[in-house]
Amino acid sequence: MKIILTGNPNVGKSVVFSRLTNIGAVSSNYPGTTVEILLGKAKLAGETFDISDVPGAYSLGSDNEAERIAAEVISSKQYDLIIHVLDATALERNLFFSFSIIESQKPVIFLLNKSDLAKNKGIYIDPKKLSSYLGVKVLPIIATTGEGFEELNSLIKSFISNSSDFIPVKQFPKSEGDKWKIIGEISRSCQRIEHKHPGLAEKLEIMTSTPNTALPFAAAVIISSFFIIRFIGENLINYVLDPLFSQYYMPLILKIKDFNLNPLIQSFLLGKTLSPTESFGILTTGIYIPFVTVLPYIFSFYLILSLTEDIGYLPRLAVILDRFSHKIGLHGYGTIPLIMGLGCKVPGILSLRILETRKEKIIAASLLFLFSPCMPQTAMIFSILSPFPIKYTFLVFGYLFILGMSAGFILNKIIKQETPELFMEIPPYQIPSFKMLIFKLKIRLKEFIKDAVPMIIFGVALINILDISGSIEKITSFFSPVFSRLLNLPGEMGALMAIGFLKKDVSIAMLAPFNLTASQLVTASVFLVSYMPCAASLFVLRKELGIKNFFAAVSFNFIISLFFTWLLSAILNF
Amino acid sequence: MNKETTLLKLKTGEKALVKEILGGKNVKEKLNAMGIYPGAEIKKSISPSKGPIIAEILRYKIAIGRGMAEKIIVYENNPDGKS
Repeated sequence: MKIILTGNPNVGKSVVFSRLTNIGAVSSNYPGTTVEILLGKAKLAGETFDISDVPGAYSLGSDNEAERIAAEVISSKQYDLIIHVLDATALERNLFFSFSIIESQKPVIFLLNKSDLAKNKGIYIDPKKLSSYLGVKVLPIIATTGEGFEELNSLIKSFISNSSDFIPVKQFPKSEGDKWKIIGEISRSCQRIEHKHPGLAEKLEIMTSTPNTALPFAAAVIISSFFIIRFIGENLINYVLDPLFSQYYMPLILKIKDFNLNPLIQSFLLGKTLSPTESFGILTTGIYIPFVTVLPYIFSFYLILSLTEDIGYLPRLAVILDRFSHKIGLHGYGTIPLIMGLGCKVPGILSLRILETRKEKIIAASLLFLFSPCMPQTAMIFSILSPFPIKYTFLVFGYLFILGMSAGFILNKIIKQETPELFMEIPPYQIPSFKMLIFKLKIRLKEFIKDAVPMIIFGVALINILDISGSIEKITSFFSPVFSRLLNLPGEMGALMAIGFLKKDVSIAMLAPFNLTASQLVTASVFLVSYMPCAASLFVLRKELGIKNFFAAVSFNFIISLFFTWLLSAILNF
Repeated sequence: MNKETTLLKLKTGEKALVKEILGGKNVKEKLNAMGIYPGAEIKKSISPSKGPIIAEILRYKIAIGRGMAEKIIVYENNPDGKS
């Protein structure tokens, strides 16, 4: 049997989904975290169900990709039960969409989520009254703590024995004005609201939304995040992971030498030199890059991102950046994919679906590639520039920012389409739950270890094989003119470009053995970050944008990147 | 006193009733699904001199671009006499 999970955005569907299926689904305190259908299996009342987590929607009249997907699933009727999640803190708005669910005439259970938050705000809802008004079963739950899930289990048990009890019996008016009239009636009789004095959250709200204070606040948040991420990452490397690697792992791995293996195999496994950043053996560099250089930064970045997400700061940031982002053809919401992309491009590209127009999608995609390097790349840039003064690190990111802004400015002029105006729900601030934070962090780290680590090891292995077989020289001589003449970089960079296509962070790591100057490292980093997205994100992007827009975005991207890298190298070597 | 104005011009902290929404069917539907329809009560929470405004409807907050806020026509004083 099949269950679908529906509801407005940001009502907690993903938390319900994770609880039911034990599959980690990332949830955040802003609308639009789930942009594709998540599938899972759940054992409820002794039976196994297929569960789909459908993207949140405010109505079935679709104006963005995520809502269209939701409308399609709901009208397909290819399911046996709808579990519809409502946010108790904003009952009326949730009810409007609920009518569309009731109209589908399929068995349904309503879950009234966030009842704890509602109580804090002085909102009391009588679920029994609500249930008799709507003619459907209504169950109050707190998804984050698991309250109400046992009752859900017994409701599902009675659904299995008699599903017709769960088909909505009431008819509601079709006209939208009449719907709101009924919602008013329901709200007056089922809901009691006590006036509460504005608390700390309200004060924070005003401070973070009124431009005079909001802009300095946003700047402080972004800058301190940068330093905290770096601080945590660096210390984890210097005091935990690097010592573990060099004191425990390396001595163990070096025992391989005792076996007197074929020298080719030995250099494949251990590399040519002993330094774990330059040898390119799969057991040395192949382990050092993902686990010692990149993982600590992935951890610290996602820790900070998850925290800001759960508190609910991101939508406020989007509002503040709105005016500014209109200059580059986006509205404030377009900054959310870019922030997601700082972790990994793939979720960043998927979240392009929250944008409505083709123009915004193309611009956000280009910016995603040009100026938000993913965390593994960022970690590698920090790492290769760590012997030099910090100004070079700032130069790389500052220049990427200028590059991205210029590209956005140009695209905004080229593509003639109006950018729609910002229209976005601002969820209330929340105190993040430590348990949920750890849960989310675990999912994201698991994803990195499962998807990215094997690719990094593969990239290192590939370079090693190319090096041993001598093919690197051939690629090098092919690309050499471009790099040595145009960009003042060694010709071997051509090989890095080819590798970078597979795994960007590895290509930046490969700069280490070349003994480049700081300026050359800066130029090379800028180029390797921006010239083209990695294979995984290209694949997802093609699916999201369609072949024509995809080629347009990628070739524009390449030209801009080459031009700006040339400009940078010209300036630095002046 | 039912003076007409737009949501954009409404003062910070003031409540108003929506009179009508100018613009196409799409805009109306979009606003309607969020609880902004003729007769709805709306409160202006934050009105910066530039950039989107923030309004409160049905106990939740929403950010609205200036152009769209200009298309939302409201009665300046709540006809029920409540502040």
